[in-house]
Amino acid sequence: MKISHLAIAAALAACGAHAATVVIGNGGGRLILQIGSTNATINTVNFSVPGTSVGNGTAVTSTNVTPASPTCPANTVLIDAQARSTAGNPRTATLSVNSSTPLTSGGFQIPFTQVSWTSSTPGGGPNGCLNAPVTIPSGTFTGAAGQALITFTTSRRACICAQFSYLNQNVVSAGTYTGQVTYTLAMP
Amino acid sequence: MRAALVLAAGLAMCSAAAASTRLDDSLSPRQRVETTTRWLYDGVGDWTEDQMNALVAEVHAMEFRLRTAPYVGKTAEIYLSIPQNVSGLRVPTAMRVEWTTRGLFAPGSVTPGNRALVYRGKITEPVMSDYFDFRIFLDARTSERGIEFDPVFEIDLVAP
Repeated sequence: MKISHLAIAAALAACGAHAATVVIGNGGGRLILQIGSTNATINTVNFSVPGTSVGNGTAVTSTNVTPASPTCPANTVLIDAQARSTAGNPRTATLSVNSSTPLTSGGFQIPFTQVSWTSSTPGGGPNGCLNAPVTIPSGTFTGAAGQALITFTTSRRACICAQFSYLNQNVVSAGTYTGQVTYTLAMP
Repeated sequence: MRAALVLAAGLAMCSAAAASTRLDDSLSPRQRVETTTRWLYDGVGDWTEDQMNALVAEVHAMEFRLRTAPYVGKTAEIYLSIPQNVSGLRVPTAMRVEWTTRGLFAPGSVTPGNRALVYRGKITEPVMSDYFDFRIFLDARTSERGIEFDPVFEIDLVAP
């Protein structure tokens, strides 16, 4: 028995001692959301409804978006959502929008339920949605604070160029109505 | 009988590296180094799915001191290898380790299950040491919560 123990020790020594170990921890997930311009500018989508057409039910497509997207088609807004995590910690991301505050002009209001969008993924150049595997469906704002637009698993990217339309279903007082919607990307 | 079985196992472990000998690096000052990943392609960009899942972890100035005393005066090749099976990694090809050094050993890169030459020449010192700056590239699609591996140095004696 003693001889065997000595033989084992000799065999292991021949392999050489080894010590150094590298341990890599997960640095966490990442959410990236871009609506319109890359900087802090809030893009403005403009609709112009002729007085004779107000409330006739014919949708009016935006003909002016400022600033213009460098890659999306004219009069559209880039919506680019990325959610990342490792396979060992898969997560689900949800892109939602808050349209609960209506457009206003003085004391008059137009709910955001009168605004819809059409999605396209034309691609082309930086932020052109070329590599986005997920498309955000076309839709209409619900006027809710947390309208879910799409849910997708990590690590993926959802991206569209959105062209907005005013549904023009109600007769409203003349004026310039302004409002703001806020998009949120969350990954619990 | 039991002792004989254990002995057989010990010999089998060595036989896999019969052509090369694992160098003793227990003199290295840092025995366990911890780091965390970051996203290689961060921020807004038209990232591909591969880019979106690209991770990198960095280890700076990890000093290795290799006991080369038994080989002084001999001509040898020293390799850095990564084991085929890396804890926390689903696919070996989803990891690549790159490094630079301060000059004694050569810079290079290696994937799990392979080795890369870092030195060729006469062994002149009983202990060879150098600092390694590692960049470890990973794919989030095949990475578990934590990854752990042991860089292994092997020595082959060669004809002068």
